[in-house]
Amino acid sequence: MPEAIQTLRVALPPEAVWDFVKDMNKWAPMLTGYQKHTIVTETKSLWTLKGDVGILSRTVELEVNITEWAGPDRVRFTLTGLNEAVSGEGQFEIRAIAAAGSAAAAAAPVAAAKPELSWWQKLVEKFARWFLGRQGGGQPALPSAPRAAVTAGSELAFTLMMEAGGPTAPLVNAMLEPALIPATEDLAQRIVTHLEKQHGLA
Amino acid sequence: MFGFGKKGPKWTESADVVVLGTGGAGLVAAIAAHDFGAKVVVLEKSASVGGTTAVSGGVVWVPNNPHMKAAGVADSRAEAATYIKTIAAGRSQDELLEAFLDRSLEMLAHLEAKTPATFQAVPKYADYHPEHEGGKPGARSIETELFDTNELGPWKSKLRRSPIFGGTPMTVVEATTWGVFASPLSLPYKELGIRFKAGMVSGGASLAGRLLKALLDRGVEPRLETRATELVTDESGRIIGVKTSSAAGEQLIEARRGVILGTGGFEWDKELSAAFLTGIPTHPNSPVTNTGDGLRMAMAQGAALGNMNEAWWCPSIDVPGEQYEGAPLHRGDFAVRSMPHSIIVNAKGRRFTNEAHNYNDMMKPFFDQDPVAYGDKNLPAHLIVDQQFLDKYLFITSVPGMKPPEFVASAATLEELAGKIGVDAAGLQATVTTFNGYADSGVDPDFRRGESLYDHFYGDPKQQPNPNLGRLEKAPFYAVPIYPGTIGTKGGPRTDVHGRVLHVSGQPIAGLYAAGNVAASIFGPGYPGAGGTIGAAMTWGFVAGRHAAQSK
Repeated sequence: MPEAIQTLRVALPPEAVWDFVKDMNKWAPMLTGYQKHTIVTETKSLWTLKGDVGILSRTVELEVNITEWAGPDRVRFTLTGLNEAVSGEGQFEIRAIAAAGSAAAAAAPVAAAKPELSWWQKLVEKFARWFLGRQGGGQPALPSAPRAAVTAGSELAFTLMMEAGGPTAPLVNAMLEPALIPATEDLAQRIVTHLEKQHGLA
Repeated sequence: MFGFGKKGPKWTESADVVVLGTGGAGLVAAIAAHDFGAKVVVLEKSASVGGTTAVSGGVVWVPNNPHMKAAGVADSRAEAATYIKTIAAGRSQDELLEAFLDRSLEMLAHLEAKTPATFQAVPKYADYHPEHEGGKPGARSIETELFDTNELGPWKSKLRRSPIFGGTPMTVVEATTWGVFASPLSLPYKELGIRFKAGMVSGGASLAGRLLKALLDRGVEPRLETRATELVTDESGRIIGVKTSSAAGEQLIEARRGVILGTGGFEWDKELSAAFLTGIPTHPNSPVTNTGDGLRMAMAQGAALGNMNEAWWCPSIDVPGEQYEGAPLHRGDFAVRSMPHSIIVNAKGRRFTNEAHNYNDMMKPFFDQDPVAYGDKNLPAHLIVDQQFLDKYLFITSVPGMKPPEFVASAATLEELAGKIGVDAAGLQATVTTFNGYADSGVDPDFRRGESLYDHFYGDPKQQPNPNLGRLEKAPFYAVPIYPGTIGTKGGPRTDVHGRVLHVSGQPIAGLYAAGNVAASIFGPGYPGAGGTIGAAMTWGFVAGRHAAQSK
């Protein structure tokens, strides 16, 4: 299953990060291609996203079901396409990090290793970033300048896995994979940027 | 005139030949100009290389080509001449048609000898009127093999590709061998995914990629996002350069031997479309940058225009919300309408065309007018299919076994479906009853659907007695709007056999050439076969580039 992981650090305690992440209304508009979402129950919501497949964009409706609610550490969810044969899962994971040199800091990976992308994946990724820049949701949240190293606070990891179903899945998944990377990167970055501004760290 | 001081224009840069546009016409023009001794500058308005060619199927129509023999199809110059004169319907010049027959072979030989653009015949892709005298059952249409875009080095991300064909790296020969239309589940999707990840492309992207590689091998790099806005003339009226606009500002580039227009059609320009075309192609299938830049520049020089009411027509289907380069994507429909268990109807529920015929000619009745009602007779139009269709064939974005796309209207009965889409229910029911009889007999006396070998190319060979005719009888029934579109206009400045643009006086405008969709098509209202547009575009690009390079 095509998968992308983005891990970022922020100089805030896990509780502060969780306070933001636990309310999807706060971060939903930060998601790549976000159009709208509706909360149906405590665990079920319906999302409309404009996603990139290959080099065209298409509107995708997804049902999101929360499968694990373990604040302030983790929330896991599944995704089911309502108008496209796609499914997937994802999670936010928040971990405390201590000062540099401590055991906790040493144990915490700064970022998951990024798989080497083919030129085509890079192209699609680039296109997705360009396309996101044209969406009403605002510009991609890539940092404009190197961020100061965070040695204490929290580490936020956002994982997203999606795969197409049906007989054409091997081809569609090949197109889908590079689109997940900017989606995870941008959401994690937007959340961290928002938190830093909210708490006067930026 | 532009930018003249006492000593003439202050050129930012000088070249022998300046080529505008990087579709098949522009790329071949640039290659030819270089190979015949010119220093070449290539300008491209958009951010990517390939133009309309790159978003196409990439097939090139060259009659009597050397690959036909291997495909087992005999051809001759005389047969081809007879055929294309029929296709042009008296609205072209025999001199141009005759020149095409010879120059296209020279173009092909040059490319295959000196560039990575080599071809294979598509044996089963019939001419678009194969039963007409001189028509052939296939192999006049040729295509490139897959192209590894890694060969482009840093330019690989600059190659335009089709939002439709671009994601499926398979040649037309493969697609037809695998039964892409009739047996879509039989395609090797795992292999296609591997190819995609590896950067392989097919069709128009392969053709444009190979031509771009040839250009880069010659040390010529296209200037992207550089729009030519005006032609520069000297006191005699000769074209001596272009004024450009880009992030670098306005520049003047000298063209000592000529400027070649390869800027594509004007289908995305509403004003030009309304002014000239027979009907408005509201849903073009081409890049949004095709806005008639070259046409306007040629008109400003007094160019004689031709074929202005024509386009390479193609019906379109929209997937709501789908976009390409920031504009709505209009999918050209080449196959859905041709398969069994489908019809196209107007608001009265009546069929009005041979749905399976070639896209250029089957679309013309979309623009039929009702003189009394004073309006379109057949618009809006809807494509209607039944569940049998969805069980067997690709339907826009769904494959057999999938639910129909959510934007498709569906109903348990034809009457209910008609109500949902605003079509006369009694008319639709009567049409389907009649059509089902035709499906049983295998003969469509109304529109001759499924009669031509061309129709069968986009049919289901398992469907008997006719591969294009199948009953609409299994509920649910489905409908989508089908719109008038085009893969590009084909009217513009008239040219001579050297690709020189003609002035309204009939004389060539010195230093100005045109090739491809920017120019008046030599085929008039017709479309000889798959790749007819690119074949002529590349041929005229070749002769223009060669002539400009050799001119003094």
